[in-house]
Amino acid sequence: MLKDGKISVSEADELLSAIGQDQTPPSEAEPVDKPRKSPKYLRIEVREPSRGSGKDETVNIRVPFQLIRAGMKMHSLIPSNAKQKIDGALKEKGIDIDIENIDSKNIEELVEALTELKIDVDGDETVAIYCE
Amino acid sequence: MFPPALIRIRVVSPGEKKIALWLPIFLLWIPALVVAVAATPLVLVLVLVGVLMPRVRRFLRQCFDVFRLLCCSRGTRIEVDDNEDNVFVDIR
Repeated sequence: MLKDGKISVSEADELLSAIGQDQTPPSEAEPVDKPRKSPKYLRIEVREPSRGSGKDETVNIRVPFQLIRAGMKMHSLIPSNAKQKIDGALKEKGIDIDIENIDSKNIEELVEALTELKIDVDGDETVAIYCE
Repeated sequence: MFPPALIRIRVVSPGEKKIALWLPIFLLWIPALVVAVAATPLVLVLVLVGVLMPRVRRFLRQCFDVFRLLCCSRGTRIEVDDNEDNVFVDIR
C-alpha cells in the first residue's frame, strides 16, 4: 500500500506497530489444549485387609492395552465348538457378542470403553480398576 | 514391535522352595534373528503356497498373531501377595 502510494510512511509505520501489538507472544496466548494421551495400561488393584495379625492381601495387575487388542484378534485360534460354548455363556450373561465376527472396529470400541473405565469399590475389600 | 527383553518370575510359598527367575530374553534375539533369516526362503515358499491354500494362509496368520501377542506382552505385571504366597511376574 505504501509502494502504491495509498498511505504515507507514517501511516505505514502505525499499521506495522499495530500488527506487532496484535501478535501476542506465545506465553500470553491461550494455552492450546494438549491432546489427551491415550492410556497404555489397564490396572486392577485389590486389597483385602488382614483379619488377624498378618499383612493385607493384595492383587496388583497391569495389562497393556496392546495385549488386549492382540488377544482379541486371536479369536481364530479358538476351536469352533469352544466358540459356540463361549457365545452361549456370554449370551446367558446378557452379552450378545459373536466371537467369530469380532472385527477391528469392535475391538477399538471395546478398548475405547475400557480407557474410560474407572471403578472404585470400597467395602471389606478395596477394588480399583482404572487406566493409566 | 519388539519381543520382551526380560522376564522376572518370583514365587514364594511357605514350605516350598522359592522360585526366582530372571530370564534375559534379549540374549535369544540374535540367534532368533539368525534362524529367521535362514528360514526366510521357507517362509517365502509358504507365503506363495498360502496364496493358493487357505489353511496354510491361516497357519501363517496364526504364527504372526502369536508373535504379535508375545511382543505386546511387554509391560505386563502381576503381583499377588497374601499372608502365605507371593507371586510376582514382570515382563519387560
